[in-house]
Amino acid sequence: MNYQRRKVTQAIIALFFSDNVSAIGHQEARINELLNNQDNFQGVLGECLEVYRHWLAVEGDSPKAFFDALNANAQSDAQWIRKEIQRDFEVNRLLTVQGMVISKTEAVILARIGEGVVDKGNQFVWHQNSPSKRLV
Amino acid sequence: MLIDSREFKDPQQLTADVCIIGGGISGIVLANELVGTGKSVIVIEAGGEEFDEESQKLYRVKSFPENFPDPANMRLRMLGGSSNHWENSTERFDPIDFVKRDWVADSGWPIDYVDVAKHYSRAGDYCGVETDGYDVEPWLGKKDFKNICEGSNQFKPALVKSALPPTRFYQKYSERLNRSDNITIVSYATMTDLDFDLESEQVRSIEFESTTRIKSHVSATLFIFSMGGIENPRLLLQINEKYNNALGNRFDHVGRYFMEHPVIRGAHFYPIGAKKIPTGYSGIFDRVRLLKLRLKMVESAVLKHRTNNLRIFFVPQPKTILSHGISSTHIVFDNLSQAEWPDQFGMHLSNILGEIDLVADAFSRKTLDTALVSDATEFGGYQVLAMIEQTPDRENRIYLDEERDRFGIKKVNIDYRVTDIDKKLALKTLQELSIDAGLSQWGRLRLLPERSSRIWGEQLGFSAHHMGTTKMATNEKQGVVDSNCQVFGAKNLYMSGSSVFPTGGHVPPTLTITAMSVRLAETIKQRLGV
Repeated sequence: MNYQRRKVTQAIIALFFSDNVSAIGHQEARINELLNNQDNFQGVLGECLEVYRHWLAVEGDSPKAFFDALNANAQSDAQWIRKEIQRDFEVNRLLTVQGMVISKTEAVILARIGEGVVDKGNQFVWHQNSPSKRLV
Repeated sequence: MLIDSREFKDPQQLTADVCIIGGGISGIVLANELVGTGKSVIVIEAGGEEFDEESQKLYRVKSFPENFPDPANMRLRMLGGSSNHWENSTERFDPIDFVKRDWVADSGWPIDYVDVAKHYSRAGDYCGVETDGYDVEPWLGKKDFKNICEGSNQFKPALVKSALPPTRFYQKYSERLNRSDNITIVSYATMTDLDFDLESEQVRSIEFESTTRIKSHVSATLFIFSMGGIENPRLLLQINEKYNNALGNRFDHVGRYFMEHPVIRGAHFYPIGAKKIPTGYSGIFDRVRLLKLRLKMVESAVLKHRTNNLRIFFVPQPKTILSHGISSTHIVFDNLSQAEWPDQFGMHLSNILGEIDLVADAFSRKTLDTALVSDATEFGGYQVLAMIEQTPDRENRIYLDEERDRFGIKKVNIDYRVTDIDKKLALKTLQELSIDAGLSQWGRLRLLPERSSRIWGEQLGFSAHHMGTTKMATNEKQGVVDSNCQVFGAKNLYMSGSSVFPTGGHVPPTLTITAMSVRLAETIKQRLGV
């Protein structure tokens, strides 16, 4: 019954504000663990897809380049990610997705995950060639 | 002394140094300030000591806008006035509220903050919230009072104080007033007319009528209207029909610039992790007071963003209240029931399907009293409420209808709207708050601009703060009363209460009404040589 519950917040919290997630770079397994622990796993994927669509509409390009640059810097440094998010808010580097005001760093990570998600109408699944597919 | 005018057998000819029309908060404060001065004071009050339904009915207006709360229920026609049902929420106006701001049309008071602020301590005493001021710093760190915007240079907490139980002004001061040898209160006495000498520009007397239909008169040296933001202009408009607008209305200002404090539900706030808003924001009991924190924009940010003043508070809500799916369901059904196709139907459908579990649960709970989703009523986040300063708008007004009440006083119509400029500025401020919420790492805001028609429609709240309508100004081309609250063109007539406010600020007005009443009492005393 929790299919596609809309909660960008929960996606953000799940990905970045748990002590279990130190960063994105080499921590995909932990992200996977977190996503699976969420009762609204499908909802989080739906939100990631929504952020990805928004990213495309606003930026006009795939989040890959932005993500890769971020990934190279972030590696396993969770503090770096948090600081980068903080800096986004300081310099007004923000995106508003369905009213939710989030940092661009948050957005690109969600969008990168969402890039690999396909909306099947009644559920979200990973795209066949998705780099994120291995997360589940 | 309290006199019930229903006991009059014959018309009375009363005389006094000061006649106060209206025994609500402002009237009680004025009378109390004049106790023991040796000057005779008569207070004319339309109601009595207790609530009276027949009397209250006379507060009915002829028309008011859709979604605007019925003014007949928002104020009380009895001694003590609306203090008999208020929350006792008090907070000071800010210095910037008194300043001319070029982006807020018709802003600027002819007096400055200091003129009013010096009376706030005494006003706090009147309101029962003590005299220890409203500085928030001494409270931070105590009793779970925290600054949730630590590090922000745009928002800061502000202190709100309420008395427990709320202060009922007449109950609190009736014994002193009724025992004094210079104060006479006449109850169940409705002012019906005024005798004005156009040549000397002096009010000679007022006429009042008891509920038993006995007409009497009061002659006085000075007269003060203290009937609130709707009745003050109502009576003044009716009187001006007789005297060719000589009493403060040569430039058609009486009744105009009517203001409220709209309260918008424009965002949801989701705290990060286990962080909750500290209990100081919900209210903490302190002796006989309830202390609360709100968030407000600091003055430099108001100036920078050229926005209106406002205050923000957080209301914890279950998931159902914050649900977009349930909200969209209401919107779709409301539209379809009126045979209209809803705007942005696709988005609403997506919201409904996305939270179909919560929608089904809400339906089941309502119709079958059975829960489908176990966690639907659990804490889901906070609703962000913003009480906003309204830009004075000449088209927002109280004006007379041809229909009269049983005392022959014309009923009023109310024209009222919230302008697009005010809407835009309020949402802009919430946008800034969303940035600061991220900066302070407390959480994230979801702005609700796509719900605009609801935010500014059926979800728009009001505060029963009726302000403006006899505004204070430097000259009669710009307002109704001067900086001493004296009506332009009427040398011995004053207006008291929130009707004289040129701008309404962003906080409940009673503390400032009280401070302004103390200030007016000083003017009256000076004028009488006390």
